Amino acid sequence: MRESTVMFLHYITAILIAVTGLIHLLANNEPTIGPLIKENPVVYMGNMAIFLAALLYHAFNGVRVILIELVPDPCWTKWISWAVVIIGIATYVVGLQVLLVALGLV
Amino acid sequence: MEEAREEFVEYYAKNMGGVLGWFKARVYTIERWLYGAHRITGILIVLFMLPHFYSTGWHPGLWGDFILGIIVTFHIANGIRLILAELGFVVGKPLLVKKPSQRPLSLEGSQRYLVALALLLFIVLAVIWAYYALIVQAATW
Repeated sequence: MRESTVMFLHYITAILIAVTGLIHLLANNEPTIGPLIKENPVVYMGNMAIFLAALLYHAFNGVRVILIELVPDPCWTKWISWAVVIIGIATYVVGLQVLLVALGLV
Repeated sequence: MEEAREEFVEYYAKNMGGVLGWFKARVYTIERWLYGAHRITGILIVLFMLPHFYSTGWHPGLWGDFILGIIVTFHIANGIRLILAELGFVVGKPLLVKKPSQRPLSLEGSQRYLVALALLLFIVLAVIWAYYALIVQAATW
């Protein structure tokens, strides 16, 4: 993927995190709105799936950008990028499984 | 003398100072400070995420939540400024910087107001969060 596309997705996920993270906070802490969100598994689960994906993309891309800035070497850059992609996808799969188990859907 | 200056510019333009280079902001602009703070807060948020993922429901406690909220609100407020600047909404006319002490002209004009607005938004969000975390939420602890 082109670097400009990666960074554009970085900003899109930033906005997504702001929205879904607020819903995540409200669902777990707000005494009146929280139960309304939590009792609907589709809304809660969908929100968490988007939140987790956006958060992992943003966090791992941030780490990748810092690492390739500290080690500006083409060979390192390639390996760091692949490692971050693989660790990110693995974390997303584990996270979704944890969520499904916690909600009692699996 | 001229060559040394060019090397200086090239060295810091690449940020080859490593991690310590993030903190060498004394001779630079406020945007450079915000860059360092944005990076540090981003790393701190990632460090919070690790135990939170490992054991969902884990939280750093009353004051930990307060500090985490302050960190996140700064990252959000400065992030909005960065997105707007990246998309080219409020950037001044770009001009080549020839001296390390020279302010980039692209940071003049409406960028000045954007920096002020971002810091103002950070203070507003931080005050709202402090009220929620230390007064509303503390009542339930």
